Amino acid sequence: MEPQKIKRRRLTAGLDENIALLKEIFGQDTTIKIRVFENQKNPRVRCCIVFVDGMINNVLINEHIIEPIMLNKFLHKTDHLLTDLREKVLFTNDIFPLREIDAMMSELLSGNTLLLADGFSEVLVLSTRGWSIRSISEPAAEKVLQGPREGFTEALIINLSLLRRKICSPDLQYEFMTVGRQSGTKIALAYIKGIANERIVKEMKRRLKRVDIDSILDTNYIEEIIKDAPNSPFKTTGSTERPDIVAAKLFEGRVAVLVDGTPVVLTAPFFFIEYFQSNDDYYSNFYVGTFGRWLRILGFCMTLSLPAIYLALVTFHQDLLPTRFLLNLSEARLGLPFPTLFEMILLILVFELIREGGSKVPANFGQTLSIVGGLVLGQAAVEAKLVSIPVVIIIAFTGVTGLMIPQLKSPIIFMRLAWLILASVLGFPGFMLGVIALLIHLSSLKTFGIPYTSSLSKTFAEECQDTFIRSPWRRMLVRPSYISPYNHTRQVPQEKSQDNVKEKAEAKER
Amino acid sequence: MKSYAMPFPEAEKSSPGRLFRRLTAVLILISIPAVFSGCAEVKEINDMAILSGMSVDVDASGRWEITAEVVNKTADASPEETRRVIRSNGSTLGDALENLNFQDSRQIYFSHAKTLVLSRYLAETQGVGPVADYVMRNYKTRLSMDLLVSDLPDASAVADLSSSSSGLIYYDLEELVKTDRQYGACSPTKVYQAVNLLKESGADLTIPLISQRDDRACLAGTAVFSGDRMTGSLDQDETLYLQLLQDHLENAHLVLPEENMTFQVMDADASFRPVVSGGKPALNVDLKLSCTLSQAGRTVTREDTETLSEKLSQLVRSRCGALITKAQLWDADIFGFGKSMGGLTYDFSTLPVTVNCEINLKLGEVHR
Repeated sequence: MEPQKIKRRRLTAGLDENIALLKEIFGQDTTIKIRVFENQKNPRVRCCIVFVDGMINNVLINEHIIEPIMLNKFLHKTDHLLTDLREKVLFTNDIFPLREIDAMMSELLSGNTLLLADGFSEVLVLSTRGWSIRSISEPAAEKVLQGPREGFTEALIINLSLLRRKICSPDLQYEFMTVGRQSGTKIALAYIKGIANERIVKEMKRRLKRVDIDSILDTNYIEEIIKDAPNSPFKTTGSTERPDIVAAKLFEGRVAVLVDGTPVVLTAPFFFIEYFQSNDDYYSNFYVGTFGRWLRILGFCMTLSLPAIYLALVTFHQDLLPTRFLLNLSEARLGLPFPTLFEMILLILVFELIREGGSKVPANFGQTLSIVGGLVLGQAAVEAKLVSIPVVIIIAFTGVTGLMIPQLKSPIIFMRLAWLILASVLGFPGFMLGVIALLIHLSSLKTFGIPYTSSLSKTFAEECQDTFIRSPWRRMLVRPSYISPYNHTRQVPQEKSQDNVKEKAEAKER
Repeated sequence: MKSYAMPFPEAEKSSPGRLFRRLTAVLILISIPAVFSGCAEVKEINDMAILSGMSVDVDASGRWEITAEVVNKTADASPEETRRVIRSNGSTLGDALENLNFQDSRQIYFSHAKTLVLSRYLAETQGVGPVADYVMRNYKTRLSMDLLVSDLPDASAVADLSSSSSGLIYYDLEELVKTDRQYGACSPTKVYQAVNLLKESGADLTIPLISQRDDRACLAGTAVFSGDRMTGSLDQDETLYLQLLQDHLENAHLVLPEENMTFQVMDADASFRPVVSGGKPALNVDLKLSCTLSQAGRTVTREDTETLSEKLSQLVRSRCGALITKAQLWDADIFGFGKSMGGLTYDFSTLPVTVNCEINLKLGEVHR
């Protein structure tokens, strides 16, 4: 039945008519089960439950819904039968009445059970969700050496509880919405009242309400639709599968969007420096954390610029190369048929093909693929004089450093190629042009109204405490003011804490 | 695609001309470096004949000859096969250099040339300045290219010498100069230094002299120039004292043959003090050396320190004095006295120079 027609229909007081209506709505769908039963003592109390097979907890339905109604000795068909059932008979923790057909369909298809009673045009919705859920495990792409190993799952309710366990405060707010005309996907907007920037919360709600699409199957759908700069390869919202990361971001004044059916959670606003921040930085010593961050930044710079710089040097600026290196390069390139640019593009393409193939292939074949792709192809290509060894090394190093930050995959692929072409046409000036264009683009981006490079342009020490270095926790006294102007203080300095002051006063008295 | 930018006052609204302005800005940004960067000069490394160095000769009739070495390296090549010697000539230096391009199928690449060798005849008759300046400016050579004068019959004979390590004789010459400089055996001169010295006043040029021992190249001293013409040469011993007077001495050894002793120079300092003596300018050269005894043919004790210091000082003073006298005969201020004379008017060839030498000698306990 068409959705518009469903909306116009109404339940009647007759149970049989209602059952017929439901059968008409769902057609031949055999997963929709309709079970009619009556009270043993008083057969006039006729009820029917409707549920989706595979989405409910059978034990709950059998023992807490059907059995109490069937065996209850005191039920009578009165005007307040539904109220009696709800308040005195049924053993479920969440029951509420509904009259609208489309709302009933939504509840039914999300795993709840509808209880219809003869003589009533209202249904009771019973919480009976019981489908199989993936267990909580560490996300594969966000592993840590030290720290929590929990990850979000596909069930929204579990994700909300994981977040609640991290933030045991009544200030943690959840606001629920449904997006997706056909999918009816539930989403939750989470933020900490008193810390989150209210303008950002309001803006996020506004953007989410304007999402008008038939289905939302992953947070990326929402991410791309609400993005500040749709054509930019850089994200303006963060995504993660870890509750500890989401909690940390909420504590800094950001908002989070949790979507039912996917373990990936969006956070906003998102700044450029966040690409290089990892939760490992915060769970280990600050020296290690800082060094790790520098490595990521260096890896990013190298993966983008190494091919372009190499190409500029060997095709335009050979005088800048050390002489011995130039002689070796000259020897390596003897007899090669293709220009250096073509070699590099070919190898980049091959690397990306192997990477893409490797991400889809089962783990058993992964090792074989890497050996074939890396060793055999690379070595064979060099011996066949298709490509030179220096280019193989450059591209391999570039590829490996590009894998350090998976979230930057799309900008890296695009910019690396763009810089390579600029360097092949214009040499170093072309490369610098690419760098300038990137800097201009990053500086012009905004994320929910806040400049994308906010954290990089601050000069106050307290604003720079978590950018290029990860300051020790005892120094991280304030939250970033460019995200939220509220509740700036994160930590009281130890020497000023009340306990400390008290101890000192007592010591003085003694 | 709808714009979901925040409706803050500072948010820029999209306008029809925005895309056009952006495209225009991008085109301007691309066209500026395209004009200045020489994108037409793309060249692959394997299309270039890398020049390691060259020799310049001129004969009595004024015919110029260039002898150059290009790299011809392959993976399985022997040292002799890694290079190819090409020659060209012309009625002028520029003509000869341009004709060099016809001697190899690839484009000659000068930017990695490390050594420029001039013949003695060229240095004495034509002068170094125009050659060095022309090569440096027109052929994109490195400014740090070493300048050498050949003591062989022709500069082109250098290209026929055997290479000791890399297979490329001109790169070997660069290594030779670099290594021997550490031991005070040569006073290297880069092309840009030569050109600058010739333009300035107060000092004259010196260039290392290259000769042959067996079939390999070796340093044979220093060529001395007055202006840009060569006027004489110093042997290797004199070159060491030249380095001392130029305040360039790093590691060297001094020998007292009568004592059968060798001393290592740890530190050396030279300074010049102009004085006016009897109304006429004069110069005091103050040398301070810190030496240790590195080899002795007899037992030496601490009591010998003063005697040995005096003998060393005497040696240094006499050798430096002789060197200065020689340079004055050639009227070649190769020490840079002119830069210390200030505004005094003087004639270098008759300038009274007094050399003072202070030796700080460390002996240790007993050396045998």
